[in-house]
Amino acid sequence: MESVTIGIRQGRVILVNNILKIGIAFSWRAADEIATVMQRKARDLMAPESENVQTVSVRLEGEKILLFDRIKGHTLFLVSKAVAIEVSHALKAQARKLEEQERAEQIALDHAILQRQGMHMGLTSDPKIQERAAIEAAWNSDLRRYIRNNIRQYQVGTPRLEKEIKHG
Amino acid sequence: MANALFDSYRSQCLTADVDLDDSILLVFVDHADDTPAPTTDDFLDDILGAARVGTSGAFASKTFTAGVFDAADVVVTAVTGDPFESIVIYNNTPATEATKDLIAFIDTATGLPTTPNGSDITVQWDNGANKIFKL
Repeated sequence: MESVTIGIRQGRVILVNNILKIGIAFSWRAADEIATVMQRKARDLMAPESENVQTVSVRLEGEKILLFDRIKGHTLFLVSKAVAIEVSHALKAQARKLEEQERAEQIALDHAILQRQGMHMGLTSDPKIQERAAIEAAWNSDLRRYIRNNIRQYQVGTPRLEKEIKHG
Repeated sequence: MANALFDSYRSQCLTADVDLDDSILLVFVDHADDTPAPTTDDFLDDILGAARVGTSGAFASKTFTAGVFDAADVVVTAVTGDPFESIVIYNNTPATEATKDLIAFIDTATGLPTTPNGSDITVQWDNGANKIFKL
């Protein structure tokens, strides 16, 4: 049974095989592409290898998914399709967090529009981006002109999804 | 892709009055079938039917207290099908899919992506109770 840790370190998405004590780091774009290929292969969908990511390859090995480090020439993990889908979800979630930082300015403006409209929903839960959004919502001249409002607004983050756990 | 307003909706907001009192719904989207493009998609018909894993009912218990829109958490019942990567929020009031405005694209949130297991999925709004600012 493989044990895999996925997280963020120094602005990159890291994937570590805890049993083999080996890992790899990706940019958020590479992590997203690898996750997409992994997910498609795990779902038996057509999935060409990523053209932009040359450091690893994702292969379908029977009923399992193999992630291979092309540079070092070793297997990073070999897992069932179900586990590969969960790994791809975790890679995408971490990639999104880094992407959010790169696109903070646009997210802050969009968040400000929703806030100024009085929408009880935001586009970020990052306190720093929310702070920028609050300034935009209060002082951006276009927003003040077209979305007139005079309210006390709650600073709200993104919604969260809760899935019931199915028993038995 | 990161969370974003659809460009068409942002333009509407910055050029005209947009009424949030319309019927607002959300749909879960499987990117293996169709990845929404906030820069070019504008209406619901831009999201392939095959990509829609689950669709909510209209937001319930909507209130506009002191100008602040609120609604009850949204429960999408018995969700089955493919994993989904994002939520798209849209205005369901116009009559046809070709005129239902796409509002917001969310792919960065706790619980995304997710694989349905046949049970209910609840979309919980952030209560944001302790940070209030004045507009």
